[in-house]
Amino acid sequence: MTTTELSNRSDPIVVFTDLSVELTGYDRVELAGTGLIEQHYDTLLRLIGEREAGHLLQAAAEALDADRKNHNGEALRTRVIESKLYGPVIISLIKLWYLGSWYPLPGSYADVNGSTAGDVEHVVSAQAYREGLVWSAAGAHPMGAKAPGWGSWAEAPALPSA
Amino acid sequence: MNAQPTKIPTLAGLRAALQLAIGLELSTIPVYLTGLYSIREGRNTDTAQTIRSVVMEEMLHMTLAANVLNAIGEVPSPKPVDFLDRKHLSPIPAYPLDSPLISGIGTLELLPLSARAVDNYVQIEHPLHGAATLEAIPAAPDSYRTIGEFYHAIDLALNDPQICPDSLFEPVNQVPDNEYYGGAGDVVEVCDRKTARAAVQKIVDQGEGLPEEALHEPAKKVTDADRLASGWQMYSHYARFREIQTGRKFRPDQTAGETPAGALLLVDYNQVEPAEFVPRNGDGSPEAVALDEFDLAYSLLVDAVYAAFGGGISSRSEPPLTGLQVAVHAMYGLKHKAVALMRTPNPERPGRTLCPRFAYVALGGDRDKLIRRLEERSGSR
Repeated sequence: MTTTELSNRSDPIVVFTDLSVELTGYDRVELAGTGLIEQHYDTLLRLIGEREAGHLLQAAAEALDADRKNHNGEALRTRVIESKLYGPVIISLIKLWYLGSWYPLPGSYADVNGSTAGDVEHVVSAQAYREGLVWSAAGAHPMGAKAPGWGSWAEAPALPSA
Repeated sequence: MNAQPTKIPTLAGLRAALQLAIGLELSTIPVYLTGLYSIREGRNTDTAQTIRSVVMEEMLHMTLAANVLNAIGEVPSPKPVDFLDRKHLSPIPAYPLDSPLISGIGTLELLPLSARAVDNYVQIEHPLHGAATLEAIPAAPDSYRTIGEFYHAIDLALNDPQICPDSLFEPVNQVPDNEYYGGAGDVVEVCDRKTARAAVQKIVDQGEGLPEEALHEPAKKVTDADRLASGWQMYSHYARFREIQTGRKFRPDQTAGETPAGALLLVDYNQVEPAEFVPRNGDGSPEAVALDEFDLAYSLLVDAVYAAFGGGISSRSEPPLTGLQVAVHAMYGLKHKAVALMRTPNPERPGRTLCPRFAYVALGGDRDKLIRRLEERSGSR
């Protein structure tokens, strides 16, 4: 069962979750386990504005629907990820999931779509840093958090159970 | 029923009893961890600290029981044992658990922190498990009404030279004290009858098997070993859980049997993930896979702990770590997995999140099947 069969497909946070699954390579349980889905959703809306976010999520919902029918990722790739309009936001969103920091959108994006005051590089929250996907992807742990126990530094990092 | 607790008449019986004692201590840990890990980051800090301190001591008790068993010539094992006339008792808990050994303890359930969960904790740690008198607890053949009775029987057998001659005791596979950190108490390395009995007494003093008289003693009675440098007082598990249950601390002049009447202890049951235990369903959803992955991680951890108790493999790191040190790393890993599960909505139970099942999957066919299923699943992801 996919999330969309269980809840309203047009629910924006469901679209955001499904989009994030495709962008990060982590499944919905792994993303929910970070406790960050709502926070990252809010961050996106805050930093590109609700109107732009609405456009993006609408395009993503339609592309994800098409990809489900065709069993590939073509629509999402061509219409969203490689799109001039959404591409820069997608890059910032992937970095947000992996690093817990927001990276500002390029000037060329702001020239067309405007910008918000918060669109500067910053760590979004302590939890966003701790639960950044980069740590589990690297088989490591965030420096200063989620300590793995005394002497663990003597062991080779464990790769995530692929 | 007869008022005399079941006697352990043979060395084989004593060894089986200690295998089950290790499992008994293990069986309380997931119950408390489920409550602890359900607490949202930075909330209910006093309660979290209290539960954590108890869990640490349960781990100590498990280690103490293992040290005693090793010292009387048997390696701790997760395999089922025959205890007196009872066959094939598994030391490893499966939840919800009705103890095969202690009739009074009640059903052990995995619940997020809630008033009901704390009631269960208090029942586990109460000398009579909440009953008014010992006689009020139904007895069954070859089992015990309370944890206290069980450890008393173990102590009697350890003290009986017919069962345990002096020559029996040898300091084999002892986990040393310097491998235990972060909790109160210390590991007793067992080399003779005296240290074996001291190890059992330490389990009883801190928690499990608290004698009934303790209810009439000061609630905050602390032995020197149980006073941490930070000033955190490690009085009995029962008294600590009573404080959470009532939302009040004990005053220094109160006895453990009284209702705590000191400062308020703030417990906010809303600042808890709404995790709900559901049995395995194996439907292949990402949620089912994540729960299976947790079971596998837990099973590997349990195996690693038993391997450490058995003399342990050490890692290839430099300087080498002991088996138990490596197992401790897996314990931290398991914590992060549990916390993540408890944040994850269960699509079939709106408003609820996943709850780790702490299901041990035995080595052999079942373990192989689980690993295969997870490998197939990760291939298709």
